Amino acid sequence: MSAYLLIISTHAPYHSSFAMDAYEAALGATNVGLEVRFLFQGNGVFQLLSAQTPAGIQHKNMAKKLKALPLFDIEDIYVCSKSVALRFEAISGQNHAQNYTNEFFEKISISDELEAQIVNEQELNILMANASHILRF
Amino acid sequence: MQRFAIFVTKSPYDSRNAESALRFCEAAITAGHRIEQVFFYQSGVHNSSTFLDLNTDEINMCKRWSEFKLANDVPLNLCVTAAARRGIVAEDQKSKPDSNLAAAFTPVGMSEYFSALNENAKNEKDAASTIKSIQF
Amino acid sequence: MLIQVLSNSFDLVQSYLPNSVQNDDENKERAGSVEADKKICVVLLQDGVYLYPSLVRILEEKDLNNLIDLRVLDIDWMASGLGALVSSADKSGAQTIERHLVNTQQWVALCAEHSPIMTVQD
Repeated sequence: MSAYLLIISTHAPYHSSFAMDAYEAALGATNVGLEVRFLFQGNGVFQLLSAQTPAGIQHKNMAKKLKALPLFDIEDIYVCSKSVALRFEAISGQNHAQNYTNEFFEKISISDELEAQIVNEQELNILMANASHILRF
Repeated sequence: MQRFAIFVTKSPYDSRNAESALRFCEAAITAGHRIEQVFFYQSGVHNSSTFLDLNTDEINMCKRWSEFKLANDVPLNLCVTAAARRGIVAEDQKSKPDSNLAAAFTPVGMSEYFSALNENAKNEKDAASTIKSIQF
Repeated sequence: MLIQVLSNSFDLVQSYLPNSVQNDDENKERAGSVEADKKICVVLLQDGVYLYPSLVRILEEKDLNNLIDLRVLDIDWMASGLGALVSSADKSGAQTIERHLVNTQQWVALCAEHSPIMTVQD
């Protein structure tokens, strides 16, 4: 089992610095050769929406930035399925959260450009327990 | 003996994180552990401001950290980018007219923290040498 | 693993706790490890101490006491004043907290013992 730093990004992209702070910490860690795994959880899953258009608020597109993660050797990217399900139940009107999670990734996420693994609760616990270090933003 | 690296992310006064972090550091050293460095990121950089002006019966974290460093020689590193974004500037940043970064703190890049953790990964076989990261 | 809880947001904290005692071997194999089976140490400090009564109840109800080792930092607990409330509401409650309280030195020792350490805060 290799040593890795798990970064958990739990905030939506624009209206606080958390998303960028998590992203920049990830880049800082990978720059010195530390293995980084990146998890989107809670409101952090909103960073993955592909149709983000932040020009009006004069911020840079977070989804576009995230696409660069693999270029910086951050290839293990995870998305908490429960977080997605909870947030998109309302939009879909479906109770079957798992189905909608799949739909989310097919239709509105950037998953075709950013390969992310959808993890359930148990996989999440293992991902956290096996990390050498965890930073949560 | 355990080696720790402490990662402080919240502003003093607004949050009590730095107080908990410092209490942890002091107790760890008393117990014979080592604090390799304290790193200040996000709003944590405000801990380094000489402009903090508290009432006498309140806790001035900049002073507390400075005293802690003097007594224990633990590096207090802060992310220079996070600091600049929040108006904490060092003297050597010439374009800035003044400095409010306390002398005990060293402006560094983010890599300073992660290099320490990475050194860890390389020496994984030697359990005693591993550094644990704790966020506050 | 050790989780430092600095927040009293119940939903946030609960999302990091095992939901129930699970025996899903398939999932474990898939992730290639059984490390997660190790007991999780949860240390409540700062505003996290206000979650103590709810967490004690959850651990009891879901039978999670074998999976989670719940600790409360004594100085932050004392600061809260919750002790008087808990003991007046439930005589045995007052005794329960004694088992969970740790001082700063013990908190450090727990951090030295467990890995990784995650901090849950707002």
